[in-house]
Amino acid sequence: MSGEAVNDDQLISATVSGDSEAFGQLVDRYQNRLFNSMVYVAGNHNEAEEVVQEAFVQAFIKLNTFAGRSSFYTWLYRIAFNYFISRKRRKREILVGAIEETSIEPLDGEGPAENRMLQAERATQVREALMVLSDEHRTVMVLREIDGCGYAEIAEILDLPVGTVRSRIHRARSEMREYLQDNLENHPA
Amino acid sequence: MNEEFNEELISAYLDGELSAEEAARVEEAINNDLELQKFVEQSRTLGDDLRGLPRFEMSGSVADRAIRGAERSMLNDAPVLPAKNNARRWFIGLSSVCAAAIVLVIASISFPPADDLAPVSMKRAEEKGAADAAIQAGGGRVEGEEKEDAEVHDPHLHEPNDVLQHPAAESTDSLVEKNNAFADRQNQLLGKSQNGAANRARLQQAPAADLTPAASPTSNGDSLPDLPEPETPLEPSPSVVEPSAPAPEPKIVPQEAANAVVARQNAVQFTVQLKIGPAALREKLAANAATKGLVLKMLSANGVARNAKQKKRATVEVTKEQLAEIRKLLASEKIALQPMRVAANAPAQSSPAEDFPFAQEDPEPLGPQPFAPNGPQKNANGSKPPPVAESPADSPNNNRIAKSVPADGDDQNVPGQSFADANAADADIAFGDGENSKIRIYFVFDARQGNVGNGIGVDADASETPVVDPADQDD
Repeated sequence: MSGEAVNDDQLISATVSGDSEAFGQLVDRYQNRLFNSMVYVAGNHNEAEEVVQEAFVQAFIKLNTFAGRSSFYTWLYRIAFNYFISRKRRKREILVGAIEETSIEPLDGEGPAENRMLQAERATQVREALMVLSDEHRTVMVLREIDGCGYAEIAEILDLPVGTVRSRIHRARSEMREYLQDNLENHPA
Repeated sequence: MNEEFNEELISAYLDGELSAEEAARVEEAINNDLELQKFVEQSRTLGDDLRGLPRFEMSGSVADRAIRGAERSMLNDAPVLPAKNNARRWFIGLSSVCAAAIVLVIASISFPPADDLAPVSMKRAEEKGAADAAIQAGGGRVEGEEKEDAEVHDPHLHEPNDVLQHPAAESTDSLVEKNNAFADRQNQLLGKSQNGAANRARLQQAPAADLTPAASPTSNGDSLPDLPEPETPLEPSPSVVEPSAPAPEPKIVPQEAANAVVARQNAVQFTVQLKIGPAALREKLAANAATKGLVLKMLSANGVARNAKQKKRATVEVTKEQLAEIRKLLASEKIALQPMRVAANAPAQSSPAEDFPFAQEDPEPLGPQPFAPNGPQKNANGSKPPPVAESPADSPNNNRIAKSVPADGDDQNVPGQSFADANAADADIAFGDGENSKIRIYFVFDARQGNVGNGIGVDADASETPVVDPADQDD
């Protein structure tokens, strides 16, 4: 199936009918967006890649059960986050501060080198602040701030009431602010 | 005023998640409170920082990996694991050993030319046993009772230019010739040969695919097996068949074989259930580019049905290419099938291959199977008219409607719905590879018109399929 105007529903139908290329288009359409979010949720590239891959595997297997009540992306996210959570429970890993060094890349900031260094330092602190959050708080923050999801969409992805999403986002922001304030006090730029 | 409540509201306000009324209240509060203004500024900065974080992309598309992973996952019924996670893979591997069965499927069937009518020789249990042993030794997977049922739906029998290709498939012209000769031969046998020319003309007008090569006699030296005078002449059209027409004798006799050939010409499509146990076959199918997607879909459909605790079959489309690959695979595995009996309303098959009029002593493995007589044919009203000699073009209502197939004809490709009631008991013909068969194929004729696409289905619970071995049917 080709053509830019092809929407998700068409690609899904084609995939269910046996067109694996259509599924490839779905993957290409969403893999980087999902991967980026999962890097910040999981804390490292390898874990994020495995989660993304498994999410697409499960999506492919279960695609014929996709009822279209939500967007494919929302459904895919739900699969990915459910898999991540169950995987995390099994592994009992502590990911605090675990974003791999390889994933910490300097920002392509503009202006003088000093400004770019400040931006990179700030980004590092923000990432650290993000990683000290609980999984629940980090997930909603990633979905909200990095992925740009609305409260209703987050609620659907995480299967939570919208009110819970709102309170978690608020608490996550408060925790991050406190962390950053403490960090700046201890390590002033 | 509750500070926590206010901050949460402000957080939602910054995200644009408040109603206009709520937003107005929050804006008023912010304007009147320096602390809140500081909070808003910090929150916005934090949001900007988060949105400014570097974005990561995967190196290359994960599509192929995902599809391969889905294939492995469905075949092994275990999560896909990274190569480096050996301990986990071992754990899952052991778990899947204990877990049991997987599924698979396949089916093929096309009707061979008469001179290719296949084998009905029993297949060497020692070869299969050795293959299974090798699988278990090499792959560490327990095969044991693994079974899968599948249904193949073949509507192409009457679609022009869509003859299922047998390796020895002949040209359309050749098939036309053969069918012409066969039509004449039938007319002679039926004492209705005076209009042979008309029949010939009718057959020539029929779509090429209608001229099923399977049991067609040839005009170039190959001859139809000698058929005795029929006890009951074949009727020219189902419309003249009384609903109370007697069911055919269960024992296969040449007359019935002739009827079967005619009935097959009339059949619009057929379904086939197939059980294939050896994992090697599944894995080879999964490794084959042409059938990989088919295996995935079948396993997926099976999983869905199983998860839903349904004992329904699902169908997926099967292309000619896939059927050809399936045939080749079975042939490469040296798996030959013999007629078997099926239960219930299907006519008892004469299990000895010798009874089969088209059987050959040392048939080619897996080639097109000999066409056994149909079971009692059912009209929509459940009557069982005998097979009749007519061309498909003259058969608007068709003379064969498998009760397993819903009459609406809209669901043949809907997983979990098609052939929901089909089982071996509905089959007209069955083939298997022995008493301890892991492979059984059931033909279920379906005379629905207008369906497109072949189908393969899998049972949600293969063990529920009431298969009756020949040994149990001798009475």
